Amino acid sequence: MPPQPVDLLQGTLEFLVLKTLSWGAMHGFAIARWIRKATDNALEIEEGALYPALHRMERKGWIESDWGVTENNRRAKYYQISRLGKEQLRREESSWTRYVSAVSKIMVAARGQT
Amino acid sequence: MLTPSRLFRRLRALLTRRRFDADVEEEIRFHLEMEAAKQQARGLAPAAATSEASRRFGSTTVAREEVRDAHGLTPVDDLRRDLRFAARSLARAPAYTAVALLTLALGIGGTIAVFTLVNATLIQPLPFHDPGRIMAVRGVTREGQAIPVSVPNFLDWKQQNHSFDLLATYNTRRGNLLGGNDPQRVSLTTVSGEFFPILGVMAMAGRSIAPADQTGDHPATIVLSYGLWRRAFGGDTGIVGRHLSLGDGSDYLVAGIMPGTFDFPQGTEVWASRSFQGVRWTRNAINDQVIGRLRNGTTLQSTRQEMDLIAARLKAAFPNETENQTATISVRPLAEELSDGIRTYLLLVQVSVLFVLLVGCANLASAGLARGIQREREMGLRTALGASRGRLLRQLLTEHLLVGVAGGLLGLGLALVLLKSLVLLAPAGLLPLRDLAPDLTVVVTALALSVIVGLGIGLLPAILGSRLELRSALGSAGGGSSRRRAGAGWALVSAEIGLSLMLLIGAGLLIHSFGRVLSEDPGARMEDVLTAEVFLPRSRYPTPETGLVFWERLLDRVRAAPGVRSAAAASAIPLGLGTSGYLEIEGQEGTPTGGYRLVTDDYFKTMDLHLLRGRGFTTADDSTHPHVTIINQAMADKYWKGQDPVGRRFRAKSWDWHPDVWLTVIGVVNNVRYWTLEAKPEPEHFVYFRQRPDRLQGMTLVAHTAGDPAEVSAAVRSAFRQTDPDVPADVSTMTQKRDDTLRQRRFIMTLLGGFAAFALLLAAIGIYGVLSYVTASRTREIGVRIALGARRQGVLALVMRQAASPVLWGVLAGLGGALALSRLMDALLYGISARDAFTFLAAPPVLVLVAAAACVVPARRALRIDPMVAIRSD
Repeated sequence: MPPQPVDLLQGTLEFLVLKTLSWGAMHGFAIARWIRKATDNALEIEEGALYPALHRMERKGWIESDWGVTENNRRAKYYQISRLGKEQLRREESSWTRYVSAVSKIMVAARGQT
Repeated sequence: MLTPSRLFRRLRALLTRRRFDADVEEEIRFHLEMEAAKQQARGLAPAAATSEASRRFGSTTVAREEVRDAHGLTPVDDLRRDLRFAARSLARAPAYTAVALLTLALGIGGTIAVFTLVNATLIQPLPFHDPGRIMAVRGVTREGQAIPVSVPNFLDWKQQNHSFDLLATYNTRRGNLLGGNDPQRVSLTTVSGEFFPILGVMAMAGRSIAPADQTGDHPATIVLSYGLWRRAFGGDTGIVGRHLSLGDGSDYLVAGIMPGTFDFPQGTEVWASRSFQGVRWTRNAINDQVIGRLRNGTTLQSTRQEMDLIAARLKAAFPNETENQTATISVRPLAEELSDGIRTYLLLVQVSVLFVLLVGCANLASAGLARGIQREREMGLRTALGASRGRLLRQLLTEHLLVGVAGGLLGLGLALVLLKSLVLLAPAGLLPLRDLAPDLTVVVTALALSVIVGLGIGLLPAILGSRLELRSALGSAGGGSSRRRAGAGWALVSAEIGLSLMLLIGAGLLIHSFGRVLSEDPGARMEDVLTAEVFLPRSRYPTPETGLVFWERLLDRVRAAPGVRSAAAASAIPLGLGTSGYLEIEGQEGTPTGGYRLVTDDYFKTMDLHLLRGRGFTTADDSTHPHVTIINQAMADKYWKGQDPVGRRFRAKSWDWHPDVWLTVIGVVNNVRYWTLEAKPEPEHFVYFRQRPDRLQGMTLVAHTAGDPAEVSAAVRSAFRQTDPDVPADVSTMTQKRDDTLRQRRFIMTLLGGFAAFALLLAAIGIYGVLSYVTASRTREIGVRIALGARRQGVLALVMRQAASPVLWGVLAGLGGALALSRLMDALLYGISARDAFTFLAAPPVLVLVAAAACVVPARRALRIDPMVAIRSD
């Protein structure tokens, strides 16, 4: 049975994209596939929503884009993380870690009570 | 945060919109194709793979829109849509659009052109060094008239004052330039050494005139204007350092060439140095203008006080010298004096253009109102279909803004054309010779103006019709809002009528006054007279006898030329400049004045002056006989009122080379006008060249011709060449001279007339527009009236009556406004008052007629209403 898709929290998609791009430059399709794979399809993103996010992030200056060529000699738009994006990623990682640990503490505490 | 690079990217996205869209498209397509390929690899059929890819992707449209949103492109898209929509809806109303664009283009074009002129002449500083400290210094008579200065007085001013760093004289006249290829008649300004240092303008080639020139061992020097240098010397800088002659016996070193932008005093072609040494100057000869550079830290007020003290001192020291009629000395910034002549004109033109612009705006606003009513139903429909009010308003504004900006740009183009043609058409001396290009401020102001006008026009109907009642808008035309709009429309018509009437009265005053000037009798023959102004070079004609020989030979040749009826010469001819001086009349006290004219045989016959009394000159009146003179009617009236002047005697102290010899009056001739047609005839007297051959250097040849004088000009020129090829002459005709004196008047009259005609046309269009839609909105009512048996006259009266009261109010307001502004016109009028009753009474009927004509079309349309159709419509 496939896992139930989780709704993406506001800004989470952007966080995921930044994290994905921190491994290297990728085109949109690769980003979508990578996120799906890495999360074992747990996060079902509507792929169409990826592109507005990419362009939004580009406007914020977190990522940069350029047209390149794939292995199959196909023109594609490649995105890569910028200095500003890396800073943003660091900030979000730390707040995410704090958020997750806070939530898991509650989860642990709750289990302890019952 | 909007960093420059991001701003740039965003701008680029906006500008390279098409490419941007294509890029997004390709990015999405790439994704879909990759996904499809992946699905196919998993074993799906190609078609199924493609649809699975689409399913996974979701809506491409939403993705595209959101990508655009991400770049902030949606408002731009809206604007594009609005603009496209506005352009389409304007194209559907070509008449409205054409009128609107034309009105704006003319109004704004005229405004830019005129304000550029004003800017160039009244606001921008003179193109001299530190122009604020350059002063014009003039003597002022007890009557308050500014007059030139004599050389001794100038030298005293210079020596006694502590306010000026530098003072210089200048004096412009026509002169000869000899020693080049052809002898030239040029506009010559003699300047004292400090002239150029005061202005602080550098020569384009060589140098300008320096204080040391023409003193001690330094030679006399001239500087050429750029125009003359190009025209007469082919733009060859080799002329610098060579010597030319002004025909006065000295050689002049060509020191330099001035740049083309330097034009002071206006029209000067040659500036020549002058020396005050070696000549005994009298305080009677007042010929020089003075400029000075104020010393740093000196105020205008203290300078004026000091100069007045000096004037009083000189007056006390030389009580008998006539120039000390100079009561005070006036010191004014040169810029102020130079704009004296043109300020009134420019002010008038400025006000007129503003009026035309206002009429145009009122017109556009009323046209916009009319359109608003026509579109009420469309707007209602669109509101019903879900368009928000803000969106509709925005669309309307976009439409008007589009008209405003397009009109503004057209206007800018028109302004450039106007300025070019104004410079070509305007009489010499009216406009300064400068670059008349609209500067950035003027352009920006004008475009801002067009946007404001556009918005204003757009907002007015929007405000008046803001409460769009859906039901009434869809149900029938002519609800409360439409009546309110009609009221506003009529108010605009009143304003247009009022402003147009003011312009019409202004133009009428100028036309009336022009007629008065034209009807002035110059007192002499104007048609078929050829003139040639000559100044005999002193180097070639050093004695009176040699001058006499020249004139006798020349006149013989001209008289023998085919087509010449008679020929003569005089030291001053009608409409020309005359010299006037002080007289001593036997048995009379005071300081009478009179013009001094030297004439040859046949002068009265050639110029058609009538001998009213006594006799004319004869060859018997030579130097061995008593010296005689002929006076004009004005002189007889002024000095021998009610008596017979023949036989009386007087002496011409200022001009006569024999100031102690009594002249006996032998005849009286009619008055002649000098300078302009409107100048009052002053006392003048004529002396005969055989008794006074001493002032023959500066004379004008006049020839009465059998046909067109231009056809004789070749023969006259050849007569000059045969007599002396080194004497240049300015050949012209009397009619040409008369036209020259009228040019300024004709120019301003044509300009204001054009404005008035244009405003009138606009007002007519405005009345037509408002009446049309008001009538259209009453179609059903009129139809019912016709169905009930209303007669044609009744219907006509019904329609016309609507326009009557706004026109009447407009006329009243216009008359009031014209009266209030009449002072503006005073200085430009001749022979009539600025509140001339005839013009004030004649203008309103013209306007009412035009208004009535504008009503005809809507009224006829009302007459043609078919009651059956009208009642069933809506």
